[in-house]
Amino acid sequence: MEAVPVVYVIDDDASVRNALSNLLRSVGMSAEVFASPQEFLHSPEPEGPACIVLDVRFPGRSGLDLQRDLAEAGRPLPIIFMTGHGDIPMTVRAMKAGAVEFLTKPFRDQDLLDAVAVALDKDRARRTGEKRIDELRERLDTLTPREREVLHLVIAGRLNKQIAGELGVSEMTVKIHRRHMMRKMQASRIVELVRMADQLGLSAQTAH
Amino acid sequence: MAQFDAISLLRAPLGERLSSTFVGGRLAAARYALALAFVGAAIALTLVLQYFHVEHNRFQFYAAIAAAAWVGGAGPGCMAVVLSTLGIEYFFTAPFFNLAVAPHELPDFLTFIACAAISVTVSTRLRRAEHWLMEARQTLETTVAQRTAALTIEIAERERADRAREESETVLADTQAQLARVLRMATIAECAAVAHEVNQPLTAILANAGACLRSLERVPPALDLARDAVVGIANDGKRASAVISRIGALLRNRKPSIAPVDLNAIVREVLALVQSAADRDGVVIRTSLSRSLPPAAGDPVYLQQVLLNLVTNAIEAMREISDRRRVLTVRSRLTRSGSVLAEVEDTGIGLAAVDPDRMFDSFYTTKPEGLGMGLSISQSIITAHGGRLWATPGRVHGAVFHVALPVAAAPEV
Repeated sequence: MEAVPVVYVIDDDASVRNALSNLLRSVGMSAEVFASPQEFLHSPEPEGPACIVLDVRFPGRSGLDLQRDLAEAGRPLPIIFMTGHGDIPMTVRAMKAGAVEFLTKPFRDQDLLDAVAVALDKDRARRTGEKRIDELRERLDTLTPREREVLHLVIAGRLNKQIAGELGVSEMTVKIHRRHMMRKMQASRIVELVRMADQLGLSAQTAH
Repeated sequence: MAQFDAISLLRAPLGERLSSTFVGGRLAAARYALALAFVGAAIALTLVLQYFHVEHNRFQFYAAIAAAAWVGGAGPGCMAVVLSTLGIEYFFTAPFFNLAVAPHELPDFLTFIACAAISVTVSTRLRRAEHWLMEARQTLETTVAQRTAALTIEIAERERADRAREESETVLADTQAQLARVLRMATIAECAAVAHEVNQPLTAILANAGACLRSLERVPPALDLARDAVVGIANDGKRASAVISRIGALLRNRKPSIAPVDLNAIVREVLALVQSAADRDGVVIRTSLSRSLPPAAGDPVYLQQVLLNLVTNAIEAMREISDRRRVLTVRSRLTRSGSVLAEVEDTGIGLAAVDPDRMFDSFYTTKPEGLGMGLSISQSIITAHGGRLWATPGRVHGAVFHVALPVAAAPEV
C-alpha cells in the first residue's frame, strides 16, 4: 500500500494557503502548509509521493530560488507555481527549470487539482525509478569481481570465446560465470541485462 | 638741503657697497680702480691740453667724476671728487705743485667742489633710478610669470568646472527622464498592487468554494471541512470588499480639481521632461502651438500625465525606425467646435499592428514590455475631464493622438 501523497502548500498569505489546504483535503489528499520557502526547507522528507504548490513571490527569496535549492539538494520535487499576475519572463524561467504548471491567481480549483495530479504522477514515476535502481544496485553488489568483469564484456557484445581469451580462462569457466551472473541479476535474456546496465549507468567497457 | 639729500643718497649705495664688498670684494676694488683711472686720465688730458696752451678748464674732471659715479656708484664717485680736487689743487691751482690754495683761487676751487658734488649726486641718482627700473622690470616679469601661471590654473579650473557642469546637466536630463518613467510606472504599479490585493482573496475564495463542494459531494459528506471552507469564503469576501473600499477612498482623494490651464505650458513642461530621451533616440521635436489658445478646463497634473504618456509612446514608436527621420510634432489649436486640442504626431511604426477597437483597453499592448495601462488610463483621465482622446494614422507614417478638452468657462464678472 502506497503512503498517502502529500502536497506542500507554500504561500505567505494565510487565507490562500488554508483555502488550498481545504481544497486538497476535500479530495482526500494530505496537505501541509508553510508560510515561506525557508520554513519548508526545514521540514522532514516525505515518505510517499509529494509535490509543492508554491507562490512565486516572497520577500527575500523567491519561489524560483527554492526550486533551485531543491534541485541542488537532490530533492527534485515537482513544483506548481502560482503568481499574482502573469510575469512572462519568470514563467519561462520556472518552466525551463522543470515546473509542472504555472497558475495565475485567481485560478479554477480544478486546474490546481489537475496540476497536482500530474505533479504527483511525476513524483511517483521518479520514486519508482529510484526504487528499481536501488534494487538493481543491490543485485549488482552480489556479483563477484570475476562475474562483474564477465557482465561488462557481455553487455559489450563479446562472445564467450572472446571473453575467455580476454580473461585468460577456458570457455567452460566463462559459461559458468555467465550463468551465475545472469541468475544473480535476475535477467533471463541479454536484452534485459543490457537495459539493466543502462538504468544503472554502467559502461560497456571491460572493468580493469 | 641739497647737501642733506646728497648724503642720504650716498648712504644707501654705501651700505650696498659694504654688503657687496663681502660678496665681491674684487668687483668693488675694480670700481675704485676705475674711478682712479678716470681721474688720472682727466689729469693727464689736462696736462696734455696745457702743453698745447689750451686754456685750463675742468670739464674733463666733471666727466671723470660723472663716469666714476655712474660706473662705480657713490663710493667711487666721492673718491673721484676727492682725487680730482687734490689733483686740480696740486697741478692746476696756483701755487702749482703743492696742496696750498692761493686766496684768490679759493672761490673757483670751492665752485669746482660743489659742481663735482652735484655731478656725483646726479650720476648716483641716475644710476639708482636705472637700478630701480631694472628691479621694477624684473619684478614685473616675475609678476607677469606668476599671473600667467595663475591664469593657466584658472583656465584649467574653469574648463574643469565647465565639464562638471556638462556632466551635471546630463545627470539632470537623465534624472528627468527617470522621473517621467517613475511617474508612469507609479500609476502602473498602483494598478498591479491593487490587482494583487484583490487576487489573493479571490484565489482563496475559489479554492474554498471548490473545497466546500467537494466535501459535500463525499459520502458521507465531510461537513467540518465544508464549514471551514465556508468560513474562509466569508472572511475573504470581507477582505476583498475592504480592498475595494480602500481603492475607492484612494480615488476620492485624488479627484481631479478642474481649473483653467494653459495647455501650451503643459506641453512645454512635458517636452522639457522628455528632451533628453528624445536626444538619445535621435528624435527631433517640433512644436506648433497656437498663440491665441484659450485656457482649457482641466487638472494640470493629470493632463501632464496624459501628455507625458502620449509623447513617450511616440518616442518609443520611432525606436525601430531607421529609413526616415524621427520627428515628434506637438500641435495645439482651438477647434471650430470650440474645444482646446493638442495633437501628438510621430513618424513611427504607426497603428497598422494595433487593433483600433482595443487600443484604449486596459492590458492591451503591442509592446513586449508594456503593461497596456498607459492609453487606458490616459483615456479615462481625459473622459473624466469631459474631453476626448483618439488616434488617427499619420499623414505619411506614424500615428497622431488627439486630446480635445473643453475650454475653461470665462470667469464670472
